[in-house]
Amino acid sequence: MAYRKNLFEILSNNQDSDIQMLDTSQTNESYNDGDSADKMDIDYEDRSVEYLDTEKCFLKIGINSKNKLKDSLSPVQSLYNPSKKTHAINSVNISNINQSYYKKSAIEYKIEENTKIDFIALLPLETSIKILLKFDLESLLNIRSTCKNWKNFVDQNIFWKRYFQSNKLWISKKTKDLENIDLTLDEVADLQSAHNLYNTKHIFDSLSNNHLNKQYSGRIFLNNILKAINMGSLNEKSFSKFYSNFKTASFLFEDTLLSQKKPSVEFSIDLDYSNSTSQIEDLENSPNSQYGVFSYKKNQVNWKMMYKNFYELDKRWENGPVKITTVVGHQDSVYCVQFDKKKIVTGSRDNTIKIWDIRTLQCLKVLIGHTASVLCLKYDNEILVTGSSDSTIIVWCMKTFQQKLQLQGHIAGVLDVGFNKDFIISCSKDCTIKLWDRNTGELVSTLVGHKGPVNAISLHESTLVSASGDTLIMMWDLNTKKQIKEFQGHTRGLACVQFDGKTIISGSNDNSIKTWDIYSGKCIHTLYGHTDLVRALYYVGGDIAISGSYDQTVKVWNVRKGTLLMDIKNVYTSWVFGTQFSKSKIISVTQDQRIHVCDFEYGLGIDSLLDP
Amino acid sequence: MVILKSSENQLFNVDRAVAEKSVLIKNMLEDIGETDEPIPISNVSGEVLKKVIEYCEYHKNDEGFSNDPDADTDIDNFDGAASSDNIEPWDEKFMDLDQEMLFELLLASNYLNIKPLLELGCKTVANMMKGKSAEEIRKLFNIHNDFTPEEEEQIRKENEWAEDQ
Repeated sequence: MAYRKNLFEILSNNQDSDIQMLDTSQTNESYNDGDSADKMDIDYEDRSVEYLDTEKCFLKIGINSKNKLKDSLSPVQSLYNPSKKTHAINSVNISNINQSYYKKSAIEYKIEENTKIDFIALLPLETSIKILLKFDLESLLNIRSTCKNWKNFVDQNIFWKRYFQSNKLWISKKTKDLENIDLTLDEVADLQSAHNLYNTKHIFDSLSNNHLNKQYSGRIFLNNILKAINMGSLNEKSFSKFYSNFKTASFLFEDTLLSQKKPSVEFSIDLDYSNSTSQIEDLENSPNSQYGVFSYKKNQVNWKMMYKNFYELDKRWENGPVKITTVVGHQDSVYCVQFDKKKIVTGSRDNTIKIWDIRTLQCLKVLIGHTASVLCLKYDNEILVTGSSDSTIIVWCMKTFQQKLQLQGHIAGVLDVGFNKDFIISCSKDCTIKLWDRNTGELVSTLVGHKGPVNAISLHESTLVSASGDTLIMMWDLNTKKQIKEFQGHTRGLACVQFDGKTIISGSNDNSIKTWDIYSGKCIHTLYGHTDLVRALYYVGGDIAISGSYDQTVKVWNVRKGTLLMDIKNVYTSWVFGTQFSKSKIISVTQDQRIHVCDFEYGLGIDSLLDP
Repeated sequence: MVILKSSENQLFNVDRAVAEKSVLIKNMLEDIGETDEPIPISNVSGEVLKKVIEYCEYHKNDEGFSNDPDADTDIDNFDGAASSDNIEPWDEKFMDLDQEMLFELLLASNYLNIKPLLELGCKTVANMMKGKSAEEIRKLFNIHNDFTPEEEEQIRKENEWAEDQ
């Protein structure tokens, strides 16, 4: 009976760990929250924007009562209810096209005179696919309605796989992995939830229906269970049913155990999904195994569904809909944000940095260290660098979230930070840019040139671009530590700048955004649309950039063409201080303590497949 | 010079460079070495082979004429739908064929492994169908509509996801 005990240990451990995780996060939060309130400083106002334009009088933000937001731990306000499932079609079958059909001679199909030929049916499979791959979607779906044979042809999974692949913009490392069905747990869960996989749900349907019988060996059965656990199909409800089935099926294990004679090894199967898959496939390939509904061959990527969901995502970026979720995330203005697939990191005037789970929008960590507003942050897998109006920079470890280094040297607030493999770079209200050794934190160099506060920097390899309240953009070579170019054109101070190695994009207090060609030094486009200071920009190459402004909008631009693609209004209720987008989301932070997540991908289950 | 022999034993004298546009023939020549013997192309009729040779003659100096067998990747290197629009005038005229010839030419280019010709043929067939209604396509290729009205309605529903909102 040892195998059963093992299994239940796995099951119960699994559950325990879930609960523990929740507990920890809650304790953390409440602990840190109290702590942060204690450390809260009384007003000292030093936001970078003050220096953008002295003529313009900025409203000072009053000191907020820190106590009134006790419920800020779970303040998810969903403005959109995504409960409606949009995925009705999950039963697209793979049609096995009868190959012999193609081998009939063309002559048999000819009509006497004006010869007409059914190309799609008669050409070799690969050639017919080639033809159909040249179709746009509309024409392709038209082909589906021509006749049954063509419909079956188009509906083949292999065809949709190729059709998907022909859209190069959709291909990512992860979609390539899908071709080998080598998925992580998260991806399986995602795909499954959106029916992007065939048949996964049948595992438990069939268990509940008592369709167990002896032809499934114990090992297969156990694998199925492990797989279901891994994929999260085993919830509380199904568990009791499953448990009774499990009892009735337990004889299977004893039989197989005896025959296999290596029980202990057999059942300590790694909870890693990819491992259990390979085991299943091994069994599947053996001639004796029969599977029925347990067919894991069917647990393959549904490429038509994939295509549809990627297509839907593209469409949503043009016309919506978008799911907007707003969190009151801090006790004061939120100045900066960065996110990845798993988490959001925000920095605030409440002196704290918070790490959020991007799926649940639960606060996972609160980092305390700065003694004044956190104005800027950047992170990678190793480090998080934050800059503050306390004039210091803190380098945090991304694994432990402990402080590694504190960099002191600026004599005024640190307005933006960046780093590459060698340096951490900071710019400040003190009009300088400083280079620090990434590992030791030693000050390497100070770049002087700007005559106003340096509000923003953007780094590409060893080229740095800086934007200042003096209306100028400067370009610096970090190897020589010299200024190499200057870009002028804006009529008022600059608040933000982005640089991808070829193009510079800048946002200004003159309400415009400019794109610059670094080789000629000329302005390529001036983008008008914002009616107030352009405070935040995000651009990492390609066609798309987004901007956030004090006019309480976020705008999406095609910077190649210089056109406005999307204008997100009526979402933000205050100045937008920071914004970033990925292929699935736009996340922005505002002066009124909020984090706004615009999710274009909700319900499609492809987020984990998109390039970051 | 290389001699090619069609399915009905018709002989064609072709420049080796032209013949080698076909990956199949190229590989055969490499295997055989120098020879005066005709190379049998037993799956292709003289009429079709003549067309194939005409194409290869015209394009013999094309750069990037991919006759590298290693270039036979699983994923085609073209940009999906957009690629069928740009056909050169000579090619377009060359492809002005009845369906039977077009079909045979596609089969031959597939068999002989002449990628640019196969590509051209596929584009041509695709262009014949683009922008046409299902009924027009059926007429064009003499295809019987074997859907019931209910099935047609079902398909229409299934296709809705791609419609503009």
